[in-house]
Amino acid sequence: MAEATSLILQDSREDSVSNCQKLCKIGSEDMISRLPDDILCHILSFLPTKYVMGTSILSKRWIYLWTKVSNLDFDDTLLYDREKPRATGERNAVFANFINRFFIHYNVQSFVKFKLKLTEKHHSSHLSAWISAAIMSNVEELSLCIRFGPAWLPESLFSCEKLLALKLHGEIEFNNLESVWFPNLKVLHLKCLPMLDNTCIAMLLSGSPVLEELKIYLIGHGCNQSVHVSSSSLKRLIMQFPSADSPYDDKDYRRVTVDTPSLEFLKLHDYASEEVNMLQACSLIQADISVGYLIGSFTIEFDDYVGMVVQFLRQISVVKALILSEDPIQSENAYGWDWCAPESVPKCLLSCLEVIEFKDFIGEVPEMEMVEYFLKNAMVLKKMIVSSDVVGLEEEVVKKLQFFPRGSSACQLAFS
Amino acid sequence: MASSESTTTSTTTKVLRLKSSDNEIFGVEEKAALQSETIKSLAEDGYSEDVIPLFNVEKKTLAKIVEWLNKHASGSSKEELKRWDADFVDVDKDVLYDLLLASNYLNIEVLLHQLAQKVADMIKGKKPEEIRQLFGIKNDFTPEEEAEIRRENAWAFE
Repeated sequence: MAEATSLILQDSREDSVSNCQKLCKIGSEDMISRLPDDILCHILSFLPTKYVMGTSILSKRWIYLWTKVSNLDFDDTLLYDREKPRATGERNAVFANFINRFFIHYNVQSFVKFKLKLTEKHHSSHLSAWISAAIMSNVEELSLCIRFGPAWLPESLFSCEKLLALKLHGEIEFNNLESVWFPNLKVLHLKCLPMLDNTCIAMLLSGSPVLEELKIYLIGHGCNQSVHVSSSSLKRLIMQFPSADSPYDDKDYRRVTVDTPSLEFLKLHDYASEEVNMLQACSLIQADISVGYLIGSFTIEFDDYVGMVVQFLRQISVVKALILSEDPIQSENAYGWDWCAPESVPKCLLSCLEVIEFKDFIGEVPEMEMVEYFLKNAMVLKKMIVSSDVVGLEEEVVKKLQFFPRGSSACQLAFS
Repeated sequence: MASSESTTTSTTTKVLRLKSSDNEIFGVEEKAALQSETIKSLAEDGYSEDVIPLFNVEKKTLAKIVEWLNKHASGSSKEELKRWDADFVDVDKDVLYDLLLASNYLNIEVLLHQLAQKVADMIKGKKPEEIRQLFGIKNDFTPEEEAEIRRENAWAFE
């Protein structure tokens, strides 16, 4: 009885002060529950939906908050007690039931983000229904990560007008892709999609007229295929192609072609392509490049590869900021390199390159020679950053770098 | 909307005066202060020459907010801001609530986001009992009510 009385008191007090900050500090120590709904929902929007639902049991104040959170994030790996014995099938049924019930009770008319991460095999009709529910609710950002496929996505997804961002990862099937129309899509991430080929990439791009950011990470077999990226609106392009696990077929000359006149930022970490071509780079401001020749995989000769890389660097020579790095894992199988200064100083060093960052620097002779060359010949350089994972570059190396003559008097040398 | 033009065209650094609910006045450069949408609209309404009264923010909270506004208008590098922000939100829960309410009222989206993220990180991965304990939330369900909710949303409590 006493319990009930104190409850009522607390409730009435809560009503009278709900919007007043000052009074929040007085009274019970449970101040978080006194925050207004929109702040609490904002907090909950950062959490996986499982944890959001978990808060419904905290107290009566929290019981219905989950119905107003506009970001949904379902992840079947999240379990408080991993040791709890339960068959996979049963666990999947509980998970599916959870999402199905969720959609029945959920209040938000249109939600912002929908993220689904499935690491176990779920019934394809469920997957389809969940994605369809998201589309019907005018989802703006859809993120799917599917470990066991093939997962067929509903056709309606590929003509979703409200979608601003689409992030796909895993065993997603694309061979039913017939038409694509994303009139508002700004961000497209395609990661580790073994069933994605160049034809699908082309369809996705041609159906996304206002796309600004594209990420493509290929793995395994995908790295053996050529990729053509063509988009007139694209501003940021991030491509990562690790070395392929099997040697290339002679017939499969692997090529990356980029045709993006509006591109401002390019990140290319590529240890799989034998040719990289940048057709238009007039808007490019920043490039982050890491490439290497794979012994035993590539079909072209090493010298031809070097010639190709130089040609590619010429194509992107309008950049103001250039980041160079060598992937330590990838480069284990790649050729070591020497620094060989060009016959004449490239135009970009004389007129446009303002920032150079050298990542994964370890202070080897060719690296030192390269930095020395850049410092001496980059006439408009404002900043040279040398980043190293090695704990504290040797003092001697740092000193040497600091004393290299600089072509640009405004140039700062920074270490990170 | 019109104010974005006026801020970019002004050349001298104008200082806005913000008054806390307990009557302390803080001078803040316009560029820094206008990161708050609420201050921005008050300034547009003609408060910019006088003192801008912020009835819902006490001086100790406003001091923190002003510190944040200044830092985020100082042109620090992304990495530095990230480190600085991590320190800034690393405060007692009481201060965190005050900052949440203030940044919500002042409509400073970036800060509100950082603070909400901080609280979310505190909740993440914890069982309901642990969350209750951490924030001092009193369980006002009967055992039957609690059992019912747990049964309905079983997966949430697995």
